[in-house]
Amino acid sequence: MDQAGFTAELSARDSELREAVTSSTLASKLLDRLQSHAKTVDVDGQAYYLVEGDLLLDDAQLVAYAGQQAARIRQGQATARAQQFGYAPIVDEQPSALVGMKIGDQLVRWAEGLVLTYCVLRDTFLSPQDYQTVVANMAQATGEWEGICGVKFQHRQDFDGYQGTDNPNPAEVLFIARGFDAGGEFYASSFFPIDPVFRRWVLIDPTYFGNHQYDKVGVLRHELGHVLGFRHEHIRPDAPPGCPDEDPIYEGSVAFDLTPYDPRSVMHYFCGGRGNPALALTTSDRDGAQRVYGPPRTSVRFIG
Amino acid sequence: MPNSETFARTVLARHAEVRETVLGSDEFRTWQRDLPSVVVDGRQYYIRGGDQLQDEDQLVVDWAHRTGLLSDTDVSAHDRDAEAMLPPGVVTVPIE
Repeated sequence: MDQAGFTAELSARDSELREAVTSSTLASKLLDRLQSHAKTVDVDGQAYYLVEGDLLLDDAQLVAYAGQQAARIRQGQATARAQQFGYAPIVDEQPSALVGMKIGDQLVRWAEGLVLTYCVLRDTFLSPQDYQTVVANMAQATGEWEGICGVKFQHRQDFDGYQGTDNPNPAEVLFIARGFDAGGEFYASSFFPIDPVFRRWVLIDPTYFGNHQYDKVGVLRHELGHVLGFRHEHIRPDAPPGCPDEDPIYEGSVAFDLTPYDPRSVMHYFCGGRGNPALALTTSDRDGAQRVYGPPRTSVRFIG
Repeated sequence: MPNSETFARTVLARHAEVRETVLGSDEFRTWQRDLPSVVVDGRQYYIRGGDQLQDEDQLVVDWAHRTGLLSDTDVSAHDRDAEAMLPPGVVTVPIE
């Protein structure tokens, strides 16, 4: 679909959605209440409603939000009513997250027990401070992923002085983190498990070290999510408009929803009024990651 | 393939006419030209989705898929492909 077609479809969908929401008494009341009481903020000349503490929604998104909240309330009421008559809840609504990659009917992941070794190429950074920042932030970000699922990273500091930047990487490490001047096109970029071996890098642009809205450790948590095989959360159909579009099929693998959509996932950009610039790991990220990698290794106790 | 080529290249080898058709399309060329790009280790990559790098083969396959020149089946790997295409250290496991 071209851009004009996409925009027209969005516009049509917005008007249908607005009609659906305003024709529902509950959703309409919610919308009125939000429009009257939610704080508004101005970002680059665009007004946004502030809801749930950190979600910025434009006018159309607020309509969608009201509709979703009304649906949740109605579902809760229906569940409570069913329980009154002795029926167990049918819908298990867990706010979970993560989109994995599958080939055929199988999930893609790193092999069980494989230690994900990496080095941080010291000489590719503009200053020793930048290098130290990346070392420290990688340690924290890898440690946090290790804390929620069964993966193990290892920083091979003995290869940080490796001089070559092009492929192959030092054979002793699985991937490299290196400074790379991308002209500010991204803060950092990484790879998926199914990418060719020579692309196993985490590239870090000088703008990463500057002032921006994203948490610096969070940026690496996000990039390491790709390294583990997780796609962007906002490629799901239920993500809001305004987020970058991507084909759900990448390098032969098909995006697979490990859990329902979560706008606060570490893998969700701060876009379309959703996302969290902290790029923090949520309990739902943990649930999705454990579906692929199992529980943290430290939580496993071997007997015998 | 796992060490040096993308799956996209394999797809285009199977559908040789697609590359020619896409590269001959003005719309594709305009889209490609407007994408930000970087050169890493002598190879040109286009930035997609904010932080993902794709080479021209991957752009061609993506475009062909979006415009219907290639179907979901054409661009998806199958179980039988997995062993041959997965790089070292990467496996597939049943969905639980």
